[in-house]
Amino acid sequence: MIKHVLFLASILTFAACNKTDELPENPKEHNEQEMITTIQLIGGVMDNSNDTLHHFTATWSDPDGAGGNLPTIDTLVLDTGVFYWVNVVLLNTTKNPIDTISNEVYEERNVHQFFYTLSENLENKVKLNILDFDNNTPPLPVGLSITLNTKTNTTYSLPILGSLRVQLSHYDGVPKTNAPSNETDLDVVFPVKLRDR
Amino acid sequence: MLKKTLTTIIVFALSWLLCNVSVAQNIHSLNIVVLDSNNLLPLEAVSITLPQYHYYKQSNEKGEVKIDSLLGGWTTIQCSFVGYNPYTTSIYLDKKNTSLKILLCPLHTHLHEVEIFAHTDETEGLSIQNKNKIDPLWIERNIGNTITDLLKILPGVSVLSSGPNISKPIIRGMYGARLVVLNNNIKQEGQQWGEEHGLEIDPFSGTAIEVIKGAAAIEYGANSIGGVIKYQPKPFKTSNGINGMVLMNGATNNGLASGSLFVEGKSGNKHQLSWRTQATFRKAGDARAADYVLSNTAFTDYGINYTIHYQYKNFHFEGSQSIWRSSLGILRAAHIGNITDLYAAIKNKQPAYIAPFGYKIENPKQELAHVVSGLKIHYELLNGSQIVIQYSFQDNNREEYDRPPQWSSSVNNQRALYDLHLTTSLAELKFEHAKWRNTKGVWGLSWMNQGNVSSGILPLIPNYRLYNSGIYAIEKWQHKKISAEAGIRYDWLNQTAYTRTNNSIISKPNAYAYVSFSSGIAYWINESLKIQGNIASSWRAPNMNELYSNGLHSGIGAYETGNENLKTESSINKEITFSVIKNTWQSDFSIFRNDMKQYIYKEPLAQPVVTIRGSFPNFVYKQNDAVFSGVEYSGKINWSKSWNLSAQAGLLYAINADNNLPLIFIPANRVSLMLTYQKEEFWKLNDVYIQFAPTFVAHQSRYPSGIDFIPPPPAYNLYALHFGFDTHLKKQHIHWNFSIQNLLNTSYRDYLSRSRYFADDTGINFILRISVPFSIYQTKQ
Repeated sequence: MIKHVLFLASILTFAACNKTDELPENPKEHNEQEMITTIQLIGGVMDNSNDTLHHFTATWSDPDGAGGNLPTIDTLVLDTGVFYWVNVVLLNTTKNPIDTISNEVYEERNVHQFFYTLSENLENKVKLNILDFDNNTPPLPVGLSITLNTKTNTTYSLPILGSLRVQLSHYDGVPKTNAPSNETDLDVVFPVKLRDR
Repeated sequence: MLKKTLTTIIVFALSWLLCNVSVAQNIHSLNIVVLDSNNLLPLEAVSITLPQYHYYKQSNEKGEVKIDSLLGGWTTIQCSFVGYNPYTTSIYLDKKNTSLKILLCPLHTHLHEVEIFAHTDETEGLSIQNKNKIDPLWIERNIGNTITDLLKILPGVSVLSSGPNISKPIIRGMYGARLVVLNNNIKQEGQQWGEEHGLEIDPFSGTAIEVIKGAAAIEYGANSIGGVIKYQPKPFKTSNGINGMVLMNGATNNGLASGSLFVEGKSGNKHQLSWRTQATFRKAGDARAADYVLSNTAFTDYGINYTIHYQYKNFHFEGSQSIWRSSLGILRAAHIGNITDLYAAIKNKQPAYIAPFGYKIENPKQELAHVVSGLKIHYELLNGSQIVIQYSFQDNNREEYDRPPQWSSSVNNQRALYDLHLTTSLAELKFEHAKWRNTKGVWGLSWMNQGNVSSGILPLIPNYRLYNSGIYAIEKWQHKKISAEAGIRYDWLNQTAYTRTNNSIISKPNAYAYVSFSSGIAYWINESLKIQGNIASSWRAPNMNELYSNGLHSGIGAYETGNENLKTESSINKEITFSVIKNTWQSDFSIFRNDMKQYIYKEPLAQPVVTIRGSFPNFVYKQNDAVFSGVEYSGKINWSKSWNLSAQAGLLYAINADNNLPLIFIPANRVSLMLTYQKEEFWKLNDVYIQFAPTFVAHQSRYPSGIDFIPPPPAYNLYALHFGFDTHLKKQHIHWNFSIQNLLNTSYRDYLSRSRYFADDTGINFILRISVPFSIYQTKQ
């Protein structure tokens, strides 16, 4: 209300004061945005912490946001016969210091959920499991920590080139369910290469 | 148009005088004298309008008006004066000279009956272009409806909407930056280019609306490529006194409560001071579709305006200011993340987010403020010519808020996604010369300086500075049964975009110059049949969004890429209109073809834009030649004093001339009817009417396939009922007008509703409008 009164007052006094930063000839830079620029999948080995050979970081990043330069996308390279443990990190690299958005997603885990979709050719070769759950009753998956299990009994020819789609749904005003919401905060596809150990 | 009067008006004498000298047939003159019916004293400054001739004049101090060069046959005369009941009559002119004495009956507090026309516009009657005036009675009975809503009764006008609370008119397929809106003779300068940007104008402030369809660049400059909408406030009081009106609206669909207080006054005889002022407030909650609440479509707005007019002899001075402020909620379900979400929303029969009805406005929303200040000097020279100088300053602020991601820090949640601040100075100098050898004309100069500052999170459009200067002349010649018109205009336009990257400013200047012309001819074949044709050219420089927009458009899953190579868009509009005006019926039929050179539109590229939120179709601005053609019909039959039927129809075909494919987002063909029954007195009520108004909107079968996310929606029919009456409680008049819109509570989606991907349009709505005129004091002249 005060805002409105001030507005009226400023109009009625007919104050046409032009501040310098209000001149078209002096544009501002639009750079700080609330956005995710980077998603990192940071992997280790679940059942053998000494196995540093199979640590990986796969990054999908688009620091200049929508449009502009094309995003840089790493291939997620998985070896067969490994039980991977993967943490998901979301960053906004336009901020200084860099904003770790995945921490905030964790804070708001009751209204967020990751969905992972492996391409068909990987379906029986890689098993994906979500480890973390929220505080809803009953608890629903979050998806900031997952496992990728490439240990299988079947044999097949390698390497296999497939993909992993990662989506982050935001449940804003609608109840969180096991299905994606109508509001997607993130939707990226990592190329996946499954190779022989 | 038949306007009935409330109390008995007597045509005191109707004397026919035969002139012996018969030089030319079919050329008639009319002498009117207007007197007060009580004391038989002449009335000065009574408005006399001949709608068929677009003729307007005021009576002199002897109450006389002389009108020459009439064509004979049935002629409708409208007579109005503040403080008196208006009077409308049709007489048959078959003699060379006809005298008519009209007695007007004073009405004291009964003010609403006065017929009001946009006669403050000095160029009235000068243009042969296709002009459509909305019946002032329709505006009065639907006061509080938005301009867009009122315009819908004209053929060829449809609506581009973004949810129930944001709408803008489309004239023959053209909208936004291709239309000019004049509010109180000042060109409204907001961010008109935006599809989800409405008109920031007080809906209670106007009493007359006129539309010029097709190019009208001569008088109104570049951007009037698609037409001009003139919204006019009530003319100043002509008698001394102070009076006003309280207007109140309520509606059930969105729980609307709105009110407006209008007060006007005049004092002085030699030094005349007239003024009017108005304050409006509107508050509405969520609108409802037939089956569910359209959550977060509430709005609140308010406005104040005042105008002061001073006249001394031939000198007029006018100063005005108006403020309009709105908060508009955007359908919450229309906030989506990416294209997958959009397809999911389309698949759902209902919006994903439906909350109980409420008045709260949450993000996403728009916060708008529009302020206009104007000065006008008008000097009448002794020979009847006049000089008009006008200056205006406008300040438009538009803030659009998105729903922030949940993780964003609280401070930035409050920042607008888009924040555009547009300031515009307009100056105009006009010289209107008096009739000389059957020729009247206007010569003018215009100048504009506009600056835009973008300071939101995202630069929807860059900062820019725009200068536009124009010079023009129009002459109209009239002789016997023919009138002809020609005009020419030259414009310079210079616009520079400013952006900052890595702390250095990049400026991109663009300059344009263009000649526009218009010409027209009207011919009365006989007393009741008129044919008129006109051809006009107009142009428009590409807009900043078309040149430089680069980003995701919230609300609709699309990425927009501007095109810096766009050239000027131009139009050549050709039109023929046949008008028949008989005693009991009238018809207007128009055929038009508008050839657009370098028509600017957007089309998705085959390659989508890949972002971290998913992929989006990449819409890029392009230009190609295009043709808009169509036919329009409007007609009315008066079966009796009580019953009449009017009909409007508009058909439009638009193609891309390069590939002969239909253009996207072209309004579907529509037909609307209105059956009216009216009675002057019924029981204790006066001025009783009931109207049944069906509207039939066809399916748009002509669209380019594979561009839009879904094909155009099916055809729909809507039915509305309007009824109203006047009551007199002691001496107080009250006007009651009721409307029921979407009578059958039909679920429908309009092709040009941008929320049709997410939700139905609004369902049934009961509206009550009450107008209470009052008089603080009134002096007899």
